[in-house]
Amino acid sequence: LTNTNITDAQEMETIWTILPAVILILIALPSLRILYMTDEINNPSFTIKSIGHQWYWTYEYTDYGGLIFNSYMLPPLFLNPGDLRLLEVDNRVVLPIEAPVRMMITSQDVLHSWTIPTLGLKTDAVPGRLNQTMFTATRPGVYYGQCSEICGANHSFMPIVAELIP
Amino acid sequence: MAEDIETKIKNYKTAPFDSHFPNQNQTRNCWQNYLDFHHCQKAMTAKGGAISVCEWYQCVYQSLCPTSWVIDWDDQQAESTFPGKI
Repeated sequence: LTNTNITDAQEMETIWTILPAVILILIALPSLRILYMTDEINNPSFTIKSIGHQWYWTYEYTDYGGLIFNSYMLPPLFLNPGDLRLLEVDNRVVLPIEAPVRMMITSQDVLHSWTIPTLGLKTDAVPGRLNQTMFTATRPGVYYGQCSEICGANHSFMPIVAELIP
Repeated sequence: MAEDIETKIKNYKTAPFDSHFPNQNQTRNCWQNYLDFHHCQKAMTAKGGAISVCEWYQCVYQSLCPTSWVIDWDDQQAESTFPGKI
């Protein structure tokens, strides 16, 4: 470590410190710009509330009245042939496609998390807090998700099913 | 101005984007609209004006706030234990 060929290379050390820093800045600035662009303002056409309980979800459609219902997992004995075990529910949340939808998510008891992976959605349901997530779906169909925050004995048995219709 | 508000209420679809609350946490948005509705209702009642102009706030808080929260707050108001200032 005392060989003079590997000591006192001040110029090289300056260059290989400053240059990577500049490269990182050049990467970070467009990245931050895109990050803020993804947080666009879009006026939703529809608001639905999703309230997590142990161990089911309640959905409220209150824009035009008071439609409120619970969504429980269908036990295996109640499944029809072709149904997905631990994913089907008695009442699905029905949503429109091609319309910006605002989901307001909260919890009545402990932490839960409302997730639909195929729609790119995951939002924590925190008691006393109202979290907002927005999305615009483009394809009709049935989309499944599962509670994504440990919430007790039946955490694995409170799925989310969204039926997207034209 | 009253006509504009009535047109706005008539054309209400859902709570629009509010730049006062631009982020994910909309708790305050719900709370503020609930308070604003009751402030408005109290003020209009005191002046003898039309309460219909306050409907906008009611529509917004009904869209945003979980029903259980609204029921709890209404009960608290009835019992005079509501924490907000109206």
